[in-house]
Amino acid sequence: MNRLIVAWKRILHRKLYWCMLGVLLILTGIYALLPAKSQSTEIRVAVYLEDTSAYTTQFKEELDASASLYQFYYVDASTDVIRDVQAGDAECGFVLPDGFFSGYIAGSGEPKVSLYETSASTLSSAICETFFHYIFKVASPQILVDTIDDAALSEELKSRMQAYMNSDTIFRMSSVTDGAYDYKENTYRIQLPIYECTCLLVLFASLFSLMLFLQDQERGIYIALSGKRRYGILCTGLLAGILPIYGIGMLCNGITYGTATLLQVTLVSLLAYLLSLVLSVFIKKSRTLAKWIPVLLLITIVYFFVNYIL
Amino acid sequence: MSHIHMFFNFIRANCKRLLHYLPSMFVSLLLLLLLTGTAGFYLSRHLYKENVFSAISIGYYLPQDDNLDLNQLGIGMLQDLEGMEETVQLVQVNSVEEGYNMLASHEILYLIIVPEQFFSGIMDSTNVPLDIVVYDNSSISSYIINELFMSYAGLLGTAQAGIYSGLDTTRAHEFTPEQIRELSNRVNFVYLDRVMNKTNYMKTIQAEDAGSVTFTQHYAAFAIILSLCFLAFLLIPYLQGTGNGICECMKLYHLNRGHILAANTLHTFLALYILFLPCYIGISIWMGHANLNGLLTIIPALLLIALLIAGIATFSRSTFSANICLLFVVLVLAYCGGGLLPDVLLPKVIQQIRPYLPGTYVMQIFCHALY
Repeated sequence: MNRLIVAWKRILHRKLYWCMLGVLLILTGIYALLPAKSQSTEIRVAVYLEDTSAYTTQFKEELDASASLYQFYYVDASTDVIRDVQAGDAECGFVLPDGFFSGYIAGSGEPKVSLYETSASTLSSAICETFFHYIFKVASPQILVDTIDDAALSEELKSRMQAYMNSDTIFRMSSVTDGAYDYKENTYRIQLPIYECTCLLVLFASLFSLMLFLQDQERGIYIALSGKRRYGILCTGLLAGILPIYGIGMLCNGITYGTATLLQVTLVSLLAYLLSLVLSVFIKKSRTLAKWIPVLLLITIVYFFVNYIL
Repeated sequence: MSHIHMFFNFIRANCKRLLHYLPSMFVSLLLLLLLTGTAGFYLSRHLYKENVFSAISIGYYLPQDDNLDLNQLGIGMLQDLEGMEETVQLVQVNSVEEGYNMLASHEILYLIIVPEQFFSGIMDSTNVPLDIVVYDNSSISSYIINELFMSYAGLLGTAQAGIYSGLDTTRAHEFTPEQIRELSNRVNFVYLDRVMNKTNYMKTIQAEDAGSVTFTQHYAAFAIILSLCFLAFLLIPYLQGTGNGICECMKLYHLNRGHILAANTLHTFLALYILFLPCYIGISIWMGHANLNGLLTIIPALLLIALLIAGIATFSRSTFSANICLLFVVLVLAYCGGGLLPDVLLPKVIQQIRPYLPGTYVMQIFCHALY
């Protein structure tokens, strides 16, 4: 026990160690103090209208006047559409290229509307139906005129079609939803990587303790001791390095995630302890360990980063 | 010996030392590229989480009238629409009661009760009303499906308006019955093409692969930057061994830490440039073209990285503190510079300070030089 207290005193003299404890406490403090945020489930769709024809103006008017669930908004460039979709600000995005309506009416299929989506855009095909409905609505009178192909009848065809579209003769559907849904707000807490930080710092603390032991050994402090006692000092040193981080880490994880990650933190701490013991068999110089510590930390950071993001 | 002569001797001696370090650096670079490249590739493919919205089950009842073929054709056309394919799962029920039971047990969200003569009514403009029953009309799912049906109803109504006005006009101008039938069929066919063949008029592009560089290219460039930066774990002992060892001797020739920093930066830059070349060749083979200007435009970025590594190596007291310091600084710069995550996915605060950080420019220069 005395040996453990001495090891604690030594390690707690290190500013770096206090920094590690501080990081965990600050992260947990931020998590606990920040209010839960609201996230709207509003389904936004970015639209860039490059086509400058009269059809586009009419299309924009139709889209603006529609009572669609989706919030179509206009941007100034196709790069803005890509950016908003990539950032998740828009569920998906459409770019209507110059000359699209002429191609659509003629049936040439060139140029095409670009639909930008990500693997998270599961509604893009449903949104696409709404978008195309308005394209078809705007283009259909001219498609009819071009198909009949009689210049003398074009005005009559268009006026008759307009009359039908305003009448109740054609197929119509009344909305089956009653307006109770008003873009429900989801509340969520900001996710901070406290579990990942705890695991990383536990590993670092154990490697740091091992390095202190190796430095002491190089200075010849343990030269008079037997191998068994030296091993005992190493074990105590590692324990002294890991325990404060483990204790504070458990507290922080408890505040943040409840009991969900406590077992994992304990397991990672045990693994870090064992890894340091194994490394002590192969690495005898502190300079060698100094080279390996960043590599081990890098691998751990990459692992936890990928895990955290996904 | 003048101090300038001594300075050049120092550089020359260190260049010779550098040659001995190169083989181990190449191996380390390969391992680091493997680690960061794999992580980057995996991230680039899975950066977006799948949404919680999944296909919704909708039941439909078809009447046992003499228009069964027409009814099946109508439902088939509905199923073929892209929006329906990906959003809805249609389930046929044998009776209206069965449909209501499935609604009650929440097996289906909507029940469509198709009346007799419904599809034939669309053709002859009688438009028999269709009943749609929904058990929960306030959920987001019901709104999405409602929106989908409203779009289809709108498409159908518009097409009907076109076909009826075509028929009315041709009849009013004394077209022959054959001409009227032929024109009506043509209008039908053209409208069907415009509504059903959406893929002919629209292309779907994955936003990750759009923009100046794709996410995969972004992470490939970032893996190279990170690997080059972390080669510092090998370079720092080399740089510190020189700096501390002959520091006192160099003082005699009025050479201070500033000179050592300059020499260290030069050596680090040389090492980084040599190690960048195989990465450049690899990317050129992958892309199928080589951007020769990239070999010149990469120089400022490599100089910045070299200055960072040499600065930390020259002014830190031990290899351990230099390594930890470098790890921390590189990761912070990489995150804020839009390397670890593409800039659009960074928090708004970071996006605002991003233009003032060197990591941003290093990332941009690498992308410009490689692609």
